Amino acid sequence: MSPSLYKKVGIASIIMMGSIFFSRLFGFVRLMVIAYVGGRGADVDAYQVAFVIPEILNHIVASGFLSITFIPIFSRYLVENQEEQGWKVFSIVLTGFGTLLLLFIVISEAFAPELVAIIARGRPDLNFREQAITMTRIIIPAQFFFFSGGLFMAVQFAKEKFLIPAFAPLIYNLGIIGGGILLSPWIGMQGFSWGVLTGALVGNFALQWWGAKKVGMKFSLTFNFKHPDLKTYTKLTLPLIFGLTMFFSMEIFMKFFGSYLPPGSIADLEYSFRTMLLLVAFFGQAAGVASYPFMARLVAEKKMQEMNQLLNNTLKYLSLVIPFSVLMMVLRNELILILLQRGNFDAEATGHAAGVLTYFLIGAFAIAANTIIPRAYYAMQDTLFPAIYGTIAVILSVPFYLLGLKMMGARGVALAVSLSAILQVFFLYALWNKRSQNKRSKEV
Amino acid sequence: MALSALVGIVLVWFKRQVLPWIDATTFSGSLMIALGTGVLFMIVLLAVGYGLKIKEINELVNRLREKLRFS
Repeated sequence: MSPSLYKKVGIASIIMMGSIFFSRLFGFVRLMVIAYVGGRGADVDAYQVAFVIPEILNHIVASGFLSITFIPIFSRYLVENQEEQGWKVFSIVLTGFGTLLLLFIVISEAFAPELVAIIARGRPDLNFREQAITMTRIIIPAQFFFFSGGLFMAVQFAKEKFLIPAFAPLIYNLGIIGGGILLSPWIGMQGFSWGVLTGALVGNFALQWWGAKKVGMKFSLTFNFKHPDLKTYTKLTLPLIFGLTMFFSMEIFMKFFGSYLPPGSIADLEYSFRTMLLLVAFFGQAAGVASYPFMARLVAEKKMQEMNQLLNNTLKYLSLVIPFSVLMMVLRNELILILLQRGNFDAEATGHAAGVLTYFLIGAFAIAANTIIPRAYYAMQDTLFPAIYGTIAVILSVPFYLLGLKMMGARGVALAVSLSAILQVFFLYALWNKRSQNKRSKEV
Repeated sequence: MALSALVGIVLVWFKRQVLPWIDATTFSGSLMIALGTGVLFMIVLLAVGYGLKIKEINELVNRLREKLRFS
């Protein structure tokens, strides 16, 4: 790598790390505001359930994976000095998948009552259902902004512009916080839903459209389902759509199984899960983001033993999550009180969330390790195996949730999340060791 | 894992000693308990890790000692 490229990568890393840090910070402030306004009321449960259909739509068009799927295709045209062709493919993908997404949005809006009834099967309460349906309908259109905004950001990344995309998650979170604070006195939790839509419109769509325009975006409505690059894009995207990731399944299962529990339980799960994620984000995300480029380079240079050494060392570093989890278990009540106990989030709510937090912390190490181990496969350009493995693991984890729900309520659901995470990561690492002949894995 | 369990036992013991003196149901009380337990956690973790010659903790302690010597 040339020195100027090193400098560019360094600047980009600083911008993205700053963006991740502030996004996490604002994300937690968002949770604090939700706790302040809604406490552990049933309408907070409804607000959480309202995210399930939008999350599924987001997964269907793989909005979160555009850096893996679209950037390589677009970058190839830039390298070959065929930028016009690159914009043509951009238009084809945006038109094709954007239309498909709009179609799904219209269908989901129409069938929101039926879909919410499936997701929140365990909660037949009419007022709860009505709240969840209304908020679902408000949030759903935001998925179009996430997808198109994701493409606008991808072209900026490909052109090595990082500053404007870095603002997307910050403005999105500020939108939710602002919506909640300004509108909740009149419309309660629905204020947050309008904040989601506004944040996505401003941060992910409008701002990124402007950013993409600045790097020369050329868009024209183009339907061409036979274009070879659309086929390549679809081929790359399909395993990601059908592969269920650990995080995706956790988010859905917590709400689905939580609906069978008394009102406030989904809120308990959400507050404690996000608190546990603070620990995972602190150790896991930084290690994952930092080690991935090196893993990819070592694989490219066919230095598998060095790559394994890096993976083993990263996992050893991550084992620090275990004593910190113990610290958080000991201080569970104090932590929840300090972070969330304000406004409508009272001492009783603290007790509930703290109780659930302990069970999430059991699996914190595995959840952190899951930000690293699949990257070893990605570094080998293998997205298919983790996708298939993830889907099988998610299906096999269902009995844990059923048993946990029946025996221990919300705490059981949290324990199921932890146990399934531990088993998923353990077997994925064991399979990796066998495949890559990782001789020093026992050190971990 | 065993180290973490040991640290956990020490922390629970410490919290039990401190709790009768501080009101944990208030923000300031919880903050004091969290800070006290957090400081003890760091000391125990470093001491036990250093004693058991855990490579990562040894490196961290040595680096801290170097810095203290220079300052």
